[in-house]
Amino acid sequence: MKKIIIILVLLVGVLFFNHNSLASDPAQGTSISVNASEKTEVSPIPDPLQGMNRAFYKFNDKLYFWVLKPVAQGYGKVLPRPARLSVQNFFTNIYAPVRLVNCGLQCEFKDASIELSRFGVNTTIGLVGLFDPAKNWLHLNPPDEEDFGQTLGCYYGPGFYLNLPLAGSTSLRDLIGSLVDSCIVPSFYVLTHYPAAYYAAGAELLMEINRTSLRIGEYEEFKRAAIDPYVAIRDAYNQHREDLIRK
Amino acid sequence: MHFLGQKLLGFTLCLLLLAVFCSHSRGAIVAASPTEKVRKAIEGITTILDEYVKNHQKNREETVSKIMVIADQDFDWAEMAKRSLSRFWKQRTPDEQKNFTSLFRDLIKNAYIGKVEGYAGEKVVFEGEKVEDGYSLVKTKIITPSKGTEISVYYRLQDNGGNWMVYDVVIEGVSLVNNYRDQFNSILQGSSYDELVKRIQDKLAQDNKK
Repeated sequence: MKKIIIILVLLVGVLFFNHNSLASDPAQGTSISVNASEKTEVSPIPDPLQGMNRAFYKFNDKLYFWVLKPVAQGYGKVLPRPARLSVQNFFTNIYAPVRLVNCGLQCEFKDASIELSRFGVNTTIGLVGLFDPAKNWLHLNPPDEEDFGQTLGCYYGPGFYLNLPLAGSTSLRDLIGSLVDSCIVPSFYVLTHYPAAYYAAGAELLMEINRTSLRIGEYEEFKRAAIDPYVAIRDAYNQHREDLIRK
Repeated sequence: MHFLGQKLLGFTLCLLLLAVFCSHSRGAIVAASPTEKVRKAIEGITTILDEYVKNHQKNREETVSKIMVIADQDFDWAEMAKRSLSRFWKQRTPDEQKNFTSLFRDLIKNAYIGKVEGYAGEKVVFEGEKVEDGYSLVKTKIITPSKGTEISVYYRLQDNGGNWMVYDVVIEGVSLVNNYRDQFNSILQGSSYDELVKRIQDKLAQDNKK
């Protein structure tokens, strides 16, 4: 249901906000001097739905300051930092199948084998992923995180930028990618069985609050450094994603 | 908000990164390699920051200005400003260019270097360099043991007549100059250069009030 809404919103957005195209400027993104260290220059992401995206960005911004941040701060006072890091480890471990499949799809078999070993060790000795003995004892450092958006990125560009309520920054390609990935995470199967849907939603919420509690102040700092925070986030998202795809 | 967590981490630490690569080049050694230059910078800044922590975070203004003295030696502000304005740079008069360079410097100073409170004993690991035709890329990783995070930071340097100067910092794949360029472009296309200057000035005034 959530996904259907997202897709509907998308279509409506395409119809009504098409006039705002940034992509109309071909000179944008050309660098002054092309040199060896800048071969990887990322061109700006098209943003035909800027009107809608900016509205959702504002919504997400308010949501962060009025709801998510105070809740995460309260949560952080109750649960000490090491415990929250363990919660984070747990969720990272649950998502191992997503990373593993996408490593395979991108033919990164060495990383795939590391993901598999880490998943095995941390799920068992690491007590369902709460701890990371694979890294701490066996020096199996987590490889770069792969997802289906990156797999698609080997063949396709990002399409255009999207900022969605709750979900935040994404692109057409990465949205499709995360829909595909969500079929691999266990929560997908839970979601399809009605009574358990509450648990899955609760888990998702916990993950978000936990993550936020470990990163309070980062968004504030980022905003402080920006002249136009919306554009700054859009560009940072795009550059970061393109960098992950190149890796 | 998903994205904001992980990906903005780099930006938060940017203050250190920026702070961190300013050099402490006293001995004027002939043509130090880009890595040497960055390494010395990091050592210099770390010393200042450690002292700041030892003094229980007193003398904040003094600390920032000490860092800025070093930053001015190793940051090519004009080059950064020029790249951030991209094709609009040539349309400006030399006076406007000079003025914009100083605005850009203050922007970076307020946004990153001025946030010395964020220093948490970060460690820097060097992961190699690339040098080609007067440009170089120094790869580093910033490790924060207390947080268990690792952030990749690349420095882009340019050979200014035997002196390597930093003209961009790339954090987790996000180039600082490109990020400002996208913001500036968006304002310049929507309105005018004067409006851009005004918005930066307003921002600086707002920062200084806090």
